[in-house]
Amino acid sequence: MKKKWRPYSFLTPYSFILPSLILLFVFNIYPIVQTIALSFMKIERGVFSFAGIDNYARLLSDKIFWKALFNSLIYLVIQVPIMTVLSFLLAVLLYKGIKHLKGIFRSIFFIPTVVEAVAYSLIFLLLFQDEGIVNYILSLVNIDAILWTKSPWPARILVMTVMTWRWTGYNMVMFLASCQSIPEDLFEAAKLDGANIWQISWNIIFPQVKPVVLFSVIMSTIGTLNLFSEPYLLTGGGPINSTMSLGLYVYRQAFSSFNTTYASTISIAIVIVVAVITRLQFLIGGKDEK
Amino acid sequence: MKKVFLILFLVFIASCNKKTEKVAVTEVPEIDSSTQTEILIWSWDVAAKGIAETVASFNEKYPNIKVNIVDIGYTGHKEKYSVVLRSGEAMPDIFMLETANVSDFAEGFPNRLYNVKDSFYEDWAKDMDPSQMAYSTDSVGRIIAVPWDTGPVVLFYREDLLKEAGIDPSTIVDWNDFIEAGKKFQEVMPDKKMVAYPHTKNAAYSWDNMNTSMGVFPLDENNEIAINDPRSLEALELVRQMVRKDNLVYDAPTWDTLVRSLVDERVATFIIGGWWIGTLLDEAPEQAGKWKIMLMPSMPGHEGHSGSQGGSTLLVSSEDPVKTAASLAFIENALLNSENQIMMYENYGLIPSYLPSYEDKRMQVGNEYYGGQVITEVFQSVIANMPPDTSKTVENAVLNNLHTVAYEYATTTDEDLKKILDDIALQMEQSTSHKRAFK
Repeated sequence: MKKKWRPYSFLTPYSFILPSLILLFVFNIYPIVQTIALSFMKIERGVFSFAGIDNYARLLSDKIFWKALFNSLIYLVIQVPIMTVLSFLLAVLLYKGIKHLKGIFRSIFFIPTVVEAVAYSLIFLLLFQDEGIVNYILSLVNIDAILWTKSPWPARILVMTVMTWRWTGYNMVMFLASCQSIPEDLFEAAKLDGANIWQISWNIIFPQVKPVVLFSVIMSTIGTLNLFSEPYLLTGGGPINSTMSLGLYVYRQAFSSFNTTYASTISIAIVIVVAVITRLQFLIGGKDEK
Repeated sequence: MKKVFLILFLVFIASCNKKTEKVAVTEVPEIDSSTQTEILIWSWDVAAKGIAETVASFNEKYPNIKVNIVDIGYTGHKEKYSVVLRSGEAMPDIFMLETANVSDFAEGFPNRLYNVKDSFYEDWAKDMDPSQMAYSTDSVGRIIAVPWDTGPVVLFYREDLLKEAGIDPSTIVDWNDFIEAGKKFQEVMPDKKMVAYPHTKNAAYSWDNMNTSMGVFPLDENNEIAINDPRSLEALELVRQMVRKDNLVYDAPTWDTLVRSLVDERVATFIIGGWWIGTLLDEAPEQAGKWKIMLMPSMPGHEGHSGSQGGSTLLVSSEDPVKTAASLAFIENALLNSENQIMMYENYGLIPSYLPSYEDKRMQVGNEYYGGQVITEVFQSVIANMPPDTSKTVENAVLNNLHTVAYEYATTTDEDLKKILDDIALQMEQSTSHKRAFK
């Protein structure tokens, strides 16, 4: 049969992807390009003008930025590994460790993820206040009261504790889902060889869920560098900027100082830092995948 | 791929073009009782209730102008304002702002805000608290905010407790006297403290007031960083002495704990904005007759007793000329009007910025809660001697952050104070467009 000639048929595939392309352009491409453009501009009395690399020069000498970056890296180096290990252990425990009430435990561990940040922050502030229950428990073992929100390191520990409480269950569910796709015969073979739970976890489960662990670590890295809710609600970034995160600093510049151009510069810096760290994580964690 | 990059590059170049916000209303028509329109006001808490009570008198003159007041809540109000002002969409016609934040908006969104300089009777600005007016004027001389209430800082003291401790309040003239009285008070009453405030995180209750009394502000009159002014260092030394050496301060990190310290009778004094009278009346009615008010101590060797804490303003951001005219008429009726100002003082504890209010006899009578003391006299004295902060900046958030960091270092560590202030001044210079006055 002779094909009917359609002059604009080459447009058909483009028309299918056009709605997605429009959304992608409006909500992703344009904001990214606009952010890059703003980072090279300055704003004075409501008027934007080109400023060259002034914002980037300021960023390099901005101690608050470096402190926020330092704090974010501290969260990254301490909190992310602790949370990942905890999530993995809980996933293994729920997958192979316990036989009953798995659904209930899974729900209990996951619930913090769906709790509103303001609500749990208020609860944690009550627990960790100077005369709160945490200091009371410490006093029972003869440890002096810790000023959790008024001293730099205790404040950081408070923020990391809350982050770990919130996100461990979320990562656990991802690991658990990945665990459930591991072929059962691997475990049967391990049992026949007399492997214990530790050997099964390390030699069978971990290699199988490694891609998900890598994904989780990368997402946690991005989340940590953009961290906002916890320092904003718990400590306001203080004391002495010891809990200031890059995300909170961007917010302060954009919405308190109305300095959207400098906030854009910090955002670009965050993207660069995330890209470098993620690349490193791929190099370290993903080399076996090749 | 090259085409994609070319398109992105063109978008980038287009984005880099010089942009200016569209200019709001510049001229307004005359309005009268037949004018029909609707205006939207954003305010919060007690102030929203106070301003709502002025609507009736406004509608007597303008019966066809409907006034909608929305209580947007204090939390995040600056962010809400900045979003609507930046976008130019869904803006209120009038919005309330704390005086200390006016500069940010005046310099950040100059084209969105109506210049009220010539909007009321001649020289109306001279009838306002000068320290509040200083914040209302932007860097090019436009007046973009009308002062509403003011926050003269005074010393609230428990006359009965000080008497019991053998302290004559009239001997507390400067901060050294205050510290000595505090030590004596706590010797006699070891279960109480001399004063309460958020001593580890908020400079507004001590250091800022000490500085203001000497005319020292984070930025000087040339908009240069003055946090490490030698006088500021002197004040911070006294703050540290009170907090860390003599332990005279009850730490009240939140508003609730501050109020609790009042209700539980844990302290002998509060050094705080005059609006605290409303809290005393609401939260501690049973303590009536025990409290008195006097001037805040001066810095040793200095004369000033005036500090400022709080105060608010109204700004006009309407995009429609008729609504702008209606908004100006509403503000004139609410704020440039002794009747309404006195009503808001009596009913809501809002201390008027409008100075003619104080000439009214109702403002000159003794207050029963304070044992018949005419407390407005003390407020007037503070207002009359308040050094104005004439600095202008749009970078308050960063400056305030570092200012708080300096205070936190001083009250939570034993590091050298001069080094702390010099370091913070340098950080301010590196993080903002302001230069240091003291290097």
